[in-house]
Amino acid sequence: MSASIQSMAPRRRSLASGAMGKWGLRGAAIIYLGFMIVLPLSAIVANGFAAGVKIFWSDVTNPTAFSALKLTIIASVIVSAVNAVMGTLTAYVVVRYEFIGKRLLNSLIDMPFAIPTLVTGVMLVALYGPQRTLGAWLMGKGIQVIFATPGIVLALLLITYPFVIRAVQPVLMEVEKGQEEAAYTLGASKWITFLHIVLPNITRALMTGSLLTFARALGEFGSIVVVAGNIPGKTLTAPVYIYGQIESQNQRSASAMSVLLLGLSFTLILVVEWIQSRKGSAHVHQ
Amino acid sequence: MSIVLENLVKRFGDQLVVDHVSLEVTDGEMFVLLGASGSGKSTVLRLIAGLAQPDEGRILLHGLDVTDLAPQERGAGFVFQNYSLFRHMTVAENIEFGLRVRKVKSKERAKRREELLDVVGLAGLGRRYAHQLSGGQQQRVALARALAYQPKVLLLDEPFGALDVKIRAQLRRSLKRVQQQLGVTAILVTHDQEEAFELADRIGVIERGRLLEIGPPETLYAEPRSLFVSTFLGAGTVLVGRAEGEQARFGPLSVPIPCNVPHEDGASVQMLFRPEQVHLTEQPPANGATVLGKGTIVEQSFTGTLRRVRLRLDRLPATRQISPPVPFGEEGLLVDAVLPSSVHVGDAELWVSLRDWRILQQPPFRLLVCDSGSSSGSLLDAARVLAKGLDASVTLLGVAKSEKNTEKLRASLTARRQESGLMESNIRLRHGEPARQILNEQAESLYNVLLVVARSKTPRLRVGTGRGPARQLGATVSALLEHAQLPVLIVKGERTQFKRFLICTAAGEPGERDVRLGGRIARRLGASVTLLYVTKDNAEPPGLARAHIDRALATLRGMDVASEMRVRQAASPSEGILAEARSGEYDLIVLGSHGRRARLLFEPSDITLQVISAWNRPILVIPPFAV
Repeated sequence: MSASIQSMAPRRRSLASGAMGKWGLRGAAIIYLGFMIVLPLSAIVANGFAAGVKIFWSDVTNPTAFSALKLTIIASVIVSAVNAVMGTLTAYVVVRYEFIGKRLLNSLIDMPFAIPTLVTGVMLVALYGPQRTLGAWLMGKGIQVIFATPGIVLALLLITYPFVIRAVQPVLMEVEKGQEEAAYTLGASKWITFLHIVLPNITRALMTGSLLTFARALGEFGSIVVVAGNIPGKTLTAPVYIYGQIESQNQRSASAMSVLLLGLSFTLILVVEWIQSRKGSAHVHQ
Repeated sequence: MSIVLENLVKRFGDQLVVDHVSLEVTDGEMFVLLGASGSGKSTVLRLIAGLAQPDEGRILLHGLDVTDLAPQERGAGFVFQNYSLFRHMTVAENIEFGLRVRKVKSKERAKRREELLDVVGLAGLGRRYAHQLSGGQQQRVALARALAYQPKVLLLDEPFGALDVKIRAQLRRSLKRVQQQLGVTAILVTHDQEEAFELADRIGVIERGRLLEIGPPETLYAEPRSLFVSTFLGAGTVLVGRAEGEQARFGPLSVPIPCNVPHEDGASVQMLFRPEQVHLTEQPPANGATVLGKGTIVEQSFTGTLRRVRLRLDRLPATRQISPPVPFGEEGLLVDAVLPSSVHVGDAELWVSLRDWRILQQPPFRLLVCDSGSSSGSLLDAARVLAKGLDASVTLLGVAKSEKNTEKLRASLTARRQESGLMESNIRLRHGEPARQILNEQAESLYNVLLVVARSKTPRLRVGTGRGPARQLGATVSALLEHAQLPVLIVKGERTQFKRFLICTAAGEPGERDVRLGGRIARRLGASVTLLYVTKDNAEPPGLARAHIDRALATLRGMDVASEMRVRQAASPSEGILAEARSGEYDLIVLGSHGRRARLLFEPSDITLQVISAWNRPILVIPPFAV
């Protein structure tokens, strides 16, 4: 027994030892990360603040920029809220109920990931455009969808459709049906059961999904550019604003807005990471 | 009555899971539903709680019909096997949940919670979370939670299934105490016979969705009515003998049959004796004792308080043993007994006699006869002959194309039943695709053999024509051969006499199951059996096959069936089987279906199909997994 351990030991050391083995891989990964992410990031931050904090501030608070930012954030909040409700509902239905076409629906949910966002925009114009039946009918009622805020929200909803569902679904599958049944036998109605038993179990996943939705909606460009009409001060969103600034050779102002969006997204990602890590520690307890 | 179930039926798709269960549980009673996994016992519980809806029948709780009520309105406390505690709540919040839903004031809730924590022995742990508790503690919380709002009845679904033995015993005792203290009516579901004995005021044994017997533990153990209940509730030896007047004969042994066991002269009867009823002595027992014979110990195990021993005795003529299961090739009789563990037993022969025993009614052999309403008369003739010889009950199954045709079919089956002298038989009607419906029927009820008729025209055997043979058998028969779990008797030709059996398979020598099943039927019919070994070369069977055949012959001798062995040389198994069948004038070929079943109908040279197509007398096909 001891002889075999001794004979094993040197070989194990030879595998793990050596500076190359130890630092080569890590170094490669870190350098790659730096080259691909840190370098461009610092470039844009440097660019945005190139003329000082004051200019940066005025760049992002000029009326056009500010209204674009406001529109983007408001639309993203609406989209996150709608997704939180409808996504949870859809996930619950897909997990808990059996119905015809369930598998089809389940694979359709991921479709927005696969559709190029420009195509999404074109799809919406084809449906709600002023010359189309549905669009014309809505126009008659005084509701303009395309080239207006509703179009932006619709496009964002379509693009972020899977986020909450795919975050909540696996957690919901893990919540034993037994807990719900136990609540029923204790006299709790379906609604009370959902509120007090199901919801607390999926809160973290729901928050993660909503935050991801928000982050994704902040940066959406392709579909918006087709759908929104891009009227400065009205339907111009922050990403489209950045594009416009680049087009008109105003790199500094584009960088400033980019840095702001980046900062927001980065914060959100940190929050998501934090939520995830808390979830992980809770699991260890169980 | 706290809980009344009336004719509950539950199906999952085509499968009958709960089969007309009726039950009455009195106030304050602890009723245990005992059954193997998949017997439908948990489903019964879920039906009572309202977590599943019955297809037929009624449920009454304290006189109130709750069949159509939601689980929330039934007031049935439910304890789940995996606890199902609310993980994000503390113990206290878990227990109070039922009260909070009912809008009970927080002071009162706290009072009730403390009471219950005390009752289940968890005082002081109210602020913990479920994951901070051990399995046993979690189950106590689940119990307290279910009891908190004072439910009308308490339902427990294998509550101790996931716990280790020591904690289980502890919890059982506290459950019994709590239940008696609170006087709540409870139904507990378990597969553990020991648990059932310890907890139950009454036990109901459930199998395949049917409630077989109900009674207090002592009664069920000492006086079971059926074989299943007697072997499920504990060890014991079961022998099958014959009734002769008022006596049951097991070889030289003759014991009186109690008058509550119906017995016709010559019918099969069973004798059950438990290990503790077996008396072992070194000296021959005194005159008048019920002596089985002299036996040697083949196995013994030490269990602490007792020493379990298994003895081997010479076989009793005209007797078959059902339990404990006899290994293939065992000719003798195996008897289980217990001794105090302080007694050491050597290899010496011991006299085996019985202190007590019980005569059980032998369940009738059940034939399922699939009649299309117009198939040839030989099917019903064969059924009649077999029913008489096997002392079997017959069920005539008709499958109509649609629901509206069933009445017409019933009329024609009734007429045919009269003509063929099968007046005692039941008629069952189903509608839909024939093979599917026949398979459902055989899966739902306990039948022993399935009878079908092959198409009357038999084209000549065509070797190597792919699915030809399968097609000419008819789709229904092919499907039955492929999927049935029962032996299928394919009635062909006009022969309706069953005196000479040929047992054979595609592969060399007949299999274990084929011999046992064929032998059992031969024993009942008083037929002789020939085992056939087909070989390509002109040689005796090789050593292993030879040993297997010897074991088969011993098994048949043990069943008291006249048997012999034949070796035949042939180019292919089917040629050998057919040649032997023709030259030996056999009445019935028992064909073990060898190998993987899925391929059966697609193998061009499939032996089973070749034999069935070429032979014009009845053939009994035994599926690979028949019981």
